[in-house]
Amino acid sequence: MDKTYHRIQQARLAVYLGTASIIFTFFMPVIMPYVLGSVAIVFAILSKGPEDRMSSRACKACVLASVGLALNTAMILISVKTMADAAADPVRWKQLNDMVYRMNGYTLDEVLSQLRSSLPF
Amino acid sequence: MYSHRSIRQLKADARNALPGRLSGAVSCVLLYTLASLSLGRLPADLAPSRTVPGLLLYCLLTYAAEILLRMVAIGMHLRFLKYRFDLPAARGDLGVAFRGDVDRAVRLCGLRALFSLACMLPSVLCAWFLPGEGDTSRALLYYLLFFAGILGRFLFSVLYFGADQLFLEFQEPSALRLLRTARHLTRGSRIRLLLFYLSYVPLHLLGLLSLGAAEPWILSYVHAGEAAFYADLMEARKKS
Repeated sequence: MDKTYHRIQQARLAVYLGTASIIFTFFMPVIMPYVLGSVAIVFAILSKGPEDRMSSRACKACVLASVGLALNTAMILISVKTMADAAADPVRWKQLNDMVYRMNGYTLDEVLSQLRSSLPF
Repeated sequence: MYSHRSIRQLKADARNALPGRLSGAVSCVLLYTLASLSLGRLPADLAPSRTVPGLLLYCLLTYAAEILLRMVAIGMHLRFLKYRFDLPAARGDLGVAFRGDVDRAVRLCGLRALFSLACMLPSVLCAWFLPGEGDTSRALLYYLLFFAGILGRFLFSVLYFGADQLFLEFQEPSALRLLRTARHLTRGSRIRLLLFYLSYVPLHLLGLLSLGAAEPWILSYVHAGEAAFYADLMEARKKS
């Protein structure tokens, strides 16, 4: 099989991975979209082959992966801001602690103290 | 007069060498990474005591592990050179340095591993002997020395770029002469080589974002680029 065929396959895979990164932003956020989006961009770049420009399919994959990465980053930032707001308000922080305890069996305070102790300095 | 290929052209050559062989390239990189991870852990696990004999044992084991890893790296470079020149790759390529003239490979890898160990020794000494574990200033000093060591290793690899490939191509018995030839080969192209490596930084950042999941493909791309760079240097040498 010639190289063009493999390059088309790589670009196609990049589109699938880019689409999956957007889908996973809503169902399994934080890690999976970053993994899938980054791999999609790498495949899109590799599919360029000896040419300087990407094919339209690879461009599409790049756009989809970038959207996935941006959405995921936005979701993380919103979550961090919500947490920071809750930390400033003792009543909301207690509610959050109770909710996390009911879901996981440990409170957010416990997680944070463990994180602090595991830092190298 | 031969004009060198630009970094963009070299990267295009690298991308052109990979289609249809990406799985082979990635498995090669993964095997090397697996070997480096398992061998990298070994010295710290086997030399637990923070004493002078412990340090000596640690350095000895690190040196042996580094030699083994560099021998595997020679095999990996052979695989990527074959991709570059459209030659069929064989399953045993990765272990090419462990067959035939092993002494020659051990001499070259031993010399390179010695330089590498010398770069990392200050950070090891800091971790081994400086008191106050958990102290911020000690941690900062350790990381400073560690990153300086990494930078030294990188600059050394730029200076002697192509030593592995020269080892594969020529039957030169002296490791020192091989390293000297590698230094001659990169003369006039070191800044270009540095820029070539720096051009992969955005991709490595992307690899970091993917928690390392994209790294096998990125490293395959880098190694294919290195093979293209070496081919370009040899072409220039032949023409001049």
